[in-house]
Amino acid sequence: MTRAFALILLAAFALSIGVHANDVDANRGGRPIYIEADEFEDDRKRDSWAGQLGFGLSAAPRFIGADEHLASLGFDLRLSYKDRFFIENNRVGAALYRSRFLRSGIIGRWNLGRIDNGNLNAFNTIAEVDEAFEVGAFAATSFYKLFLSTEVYFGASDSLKGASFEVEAGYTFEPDSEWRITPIIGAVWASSDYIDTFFGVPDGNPDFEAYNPSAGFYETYVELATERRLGKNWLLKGNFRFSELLNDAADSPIVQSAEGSSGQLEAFVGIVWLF
Amino acid sequence: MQKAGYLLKSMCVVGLALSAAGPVMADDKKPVLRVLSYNINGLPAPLKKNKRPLYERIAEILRDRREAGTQPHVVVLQEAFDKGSRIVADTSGYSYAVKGPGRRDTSKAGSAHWTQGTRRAYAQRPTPQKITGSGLYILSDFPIVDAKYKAFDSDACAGLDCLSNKAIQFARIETPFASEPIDIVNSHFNSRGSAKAPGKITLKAHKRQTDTLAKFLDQFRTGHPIVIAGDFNTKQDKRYAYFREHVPLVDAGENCLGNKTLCLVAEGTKEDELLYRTNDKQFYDGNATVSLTPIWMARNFDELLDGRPLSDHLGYEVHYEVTVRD
Repeated sequence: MTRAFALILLAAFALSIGVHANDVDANRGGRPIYIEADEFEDDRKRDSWAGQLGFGLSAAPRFIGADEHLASLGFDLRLSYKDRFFIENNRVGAALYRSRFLRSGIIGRWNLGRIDNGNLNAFNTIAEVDEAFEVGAFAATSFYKLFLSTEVYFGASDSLKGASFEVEAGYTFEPDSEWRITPIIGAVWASSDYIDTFFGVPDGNPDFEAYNPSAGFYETYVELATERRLGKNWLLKGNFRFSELLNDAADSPIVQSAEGSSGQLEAFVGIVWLF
Repeated sequence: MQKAGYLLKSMCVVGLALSAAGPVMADDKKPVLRVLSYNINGLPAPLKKNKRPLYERIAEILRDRREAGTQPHVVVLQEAFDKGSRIVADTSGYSYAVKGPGRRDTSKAGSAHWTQGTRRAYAQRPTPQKITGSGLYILSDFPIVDAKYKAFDSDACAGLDCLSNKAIQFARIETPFASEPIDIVNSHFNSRGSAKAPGKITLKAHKRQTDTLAKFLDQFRTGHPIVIAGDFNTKQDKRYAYFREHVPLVDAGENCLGNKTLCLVAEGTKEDELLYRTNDKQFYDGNATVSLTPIWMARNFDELLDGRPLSDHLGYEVHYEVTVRD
């Protein structure tokens, strides 16, 4: 009887302390059951529209190849809808293909031409180039803070014919969490028609000998783009770009003249509102 | 008296028999939850090569411990980026697993991030570009009844850490130790030197990650006991202080080393590697009815395999006695 009582107690004790051991299969093998996890709902909603509008001072050559540079009030407008459609100053486009490493799509550009020959007498005989709309395509890739983008444009009007192709690459440095500096290098290639529009001289010009440039890379540039965050929706922005005209563009009588220069500077400094 | 003596002897025999098959570190009679946090350094190739034998050995150790009945009930893994590292989750004998978010799972753009600063608008991305997933797993012997995650926003990362979709994992497990579930949280915070970013930026990102953890703990916690384990990269004083200020839980290392009569430290484990000279940590809290008390701690998985360490981290294991108050 004593023995039986002890065994019953022993069994109860063993069961009570065995609960923890028995809930775990000591010899279990095979894959576990994978439980699907849900994402926490965040209160941060992303708007379909995103953009920025900047005001400031800009400086640029009077026209491409000019030695004279002008300062003026500058604007910087960037707008995107659902990260697919965008307006970026004089460009508009849509991203048709989006993958982890590549984005590509269609793009259009309003080319300002050369409608301001200024009062430079030497160029009075050089025809103005009317503003024109160009259509084309873009492709861009990025890895971490390094990016590479290309754009190709085709003139779609009588005033601007030919094709141009731009490629640029840059890397964004962040000296601190509110400051970004992005050095960029780039180059522009153009067909003979395109280069001829801006750098050629037709036969019979009284001031310059006739000049028919060939296709090729006609411009390289280095640029420093910097942003300093002033607040949640405000940036101080600066862009400084130095371009060097190359090859047949640099050899153009227009560029070689006293009023021309192969070195070109563009800059923008302004306050940008993010919305 | 004779009856009592017989009974006592019988209980001792059974107790000894169970202890041989059960945990050797903690008293098997106590309800003890064993939690291991382990950064397995599973960086993808070509950053790391020939890691498979190391993963297999980690899984083997966990299986051996399972056979001995001493396996951690819950394992939280970090840096399981490499596909091969899944061996650890799949072959170590756990019944349940939750994998952290992959590289495609949502990670939102923050208010300021380098992806927004790219040159062309069309090159910008609605979500940050991630090369790898979170590298997080929670493995459990006990049923996981709820699981959630929160990927850090893109402005809560710095440097190379931004390439992975770092996150916080939440799992609610039903243990046999208490009638209410216990919450488990796993995360891997922004590194310092390895991030290759200025210290001010990595510190800011770390603070934002701490803020994120605090915010989502408020949402996930419903009063259950909780264990937060992971690689929090809190070795730096400033990071640790900010973390403790905003995540008001008990540091398991502090508690254990402050109550050495209740808590044992495994042989070979350095105390400072449980406290502040470590990025791997565990924090916990109980509630009015269930309390957790660290009773054993170890830095383990320190063996070499063919001269190579299993990881560049050690395991960080804590055994919590679970006490239910009536």
